Amino acid sequence: MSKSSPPEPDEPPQPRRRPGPELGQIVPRVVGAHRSLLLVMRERHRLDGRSLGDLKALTGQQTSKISELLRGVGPYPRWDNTEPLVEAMRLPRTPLLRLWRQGALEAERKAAWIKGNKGAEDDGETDLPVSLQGMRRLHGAAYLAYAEIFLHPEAAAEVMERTFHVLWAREHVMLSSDSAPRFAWAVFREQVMERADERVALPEAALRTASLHEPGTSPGDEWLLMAHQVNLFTALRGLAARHADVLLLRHVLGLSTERTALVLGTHPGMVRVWQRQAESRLEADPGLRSLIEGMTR
Amino acid sequence: MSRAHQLFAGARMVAWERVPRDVVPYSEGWRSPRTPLDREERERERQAGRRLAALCEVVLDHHAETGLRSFVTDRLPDPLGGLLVGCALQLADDEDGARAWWRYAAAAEDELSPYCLHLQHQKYGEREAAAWWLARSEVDRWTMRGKLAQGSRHSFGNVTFPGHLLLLAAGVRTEGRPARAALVEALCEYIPAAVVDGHAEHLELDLPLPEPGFADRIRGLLATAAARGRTCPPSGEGSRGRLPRRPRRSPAEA
Repeated sequence: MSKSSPPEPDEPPQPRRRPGPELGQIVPRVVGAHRSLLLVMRERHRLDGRSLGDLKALTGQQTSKISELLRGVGPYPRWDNTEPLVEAMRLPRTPLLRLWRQGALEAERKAAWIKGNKGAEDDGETDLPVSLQGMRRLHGAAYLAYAEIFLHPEAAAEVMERTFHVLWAREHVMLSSDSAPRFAWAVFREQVMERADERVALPEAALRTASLHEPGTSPGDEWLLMAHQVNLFTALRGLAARHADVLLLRHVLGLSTERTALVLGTHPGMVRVWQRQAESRLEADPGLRSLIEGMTR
Repeated sequence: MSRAHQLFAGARMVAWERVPRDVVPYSEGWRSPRTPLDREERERERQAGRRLAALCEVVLDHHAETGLRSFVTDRLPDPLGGLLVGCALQLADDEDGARAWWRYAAAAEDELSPYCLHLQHQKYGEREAAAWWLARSEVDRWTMRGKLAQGSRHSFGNVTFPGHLLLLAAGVRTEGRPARAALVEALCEYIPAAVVDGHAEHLELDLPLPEPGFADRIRGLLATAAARGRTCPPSGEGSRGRLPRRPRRSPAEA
């Protein structure tokens, strides 16, 4: 057996490698709440340093079964199999149960099947932890307005619900991140984009802008305005995420720089920088060149 | 006013119109999130699911009265019974349970359960497992002629077996599920409920064992169905599209 030399004092400590095989990827067919549930559990699995063997010892399930469950292989998992893992990973039960129930509905499981899972009843009363309730009060309206740019209101409301449950499940990670609001925004944005149809969501949103809903516009003008808005929103699609977000929050939803900074979890100065960068990108966009030239003439 | 402001003039969002929901829920597009699979692949998976459901209905319909008669212990039916338990669980969405019971039956060289497993794996896009089970199943090469000549228990018309299932599944889609016999209905209700505890109790086992006294309850259901068959010949309700059952001859008549 070879002896490992002690680490050099100024070398950064190597993260302890978990014994046993690495967990495989989530299978591509898993989407929606099921995927969110798996991502939460896998993140915890990655961070807590337990091997599948440890989980086997804690839950009594076969490692192959645990691995299948964490990768989303096969039929939608039973709560009977999921709950012991949730417990062994010391994850909060309520948000994971709700994600599981939502996933079961999306997987078109029968109500009788859901009921046939021990302990899978949701009292529906337990509310978010206080910190997240505060965040919902502060940023909920802005989040919802942003989601409604991309999604039908019913879908937007669902995305809000899902976002806060994912945040609840990942509360520890959120609280240890640099900025909780920034973390929350990233989670929220991911949930929106998973639902939105990226090819058409922004161009469709262009048709719901104020300029097209003003009374007394002649049909010819209306056509021009529509072309303008669609071009503009289509151009937003090509921007980096933070650039597009700043423009949407500032110009389309009309938030102040300070408010935008709070929602995105950054400094107002950063918002100004991103806004300037984004605007100059847009002005250089060939699709918008003719519009801008039309304005300055 | 900067150029950007001009560009975004009038780009504020108008709130969605708040109108009462449609009576038919708005479902296209957003209720189920987008899957990254291409359409062909998704269709193949869906089709496997439909075939499997049709197969389970057929198996239960054919064998409900005869298949669940012999038990190894009071909680463990013999392999043909295992196939039936699997089918009842599959129809109740308990696909983990169905998988385990079919494996049990397949290990005892039941002919149909490998094909059930093949379809279930195919439904979840698990190609290797699906191919593995298909290789262990002769069913897809069956035609009625060949099978009848060998005097098989199963007979499925003069087309290949998968083709026949497809026809059945298509029939179910257009005409709705045919009414089940009372016995099949009772089995589909009882069996999934009987294994609920089995799932939660023995996590180290894949096979969800039914509750104690399972064999007696099943025999009871069979006896009730047999009694019903003797006393009142089925009429109209519950047996639509089915020939009336031939009355059993009592010894006195013979």
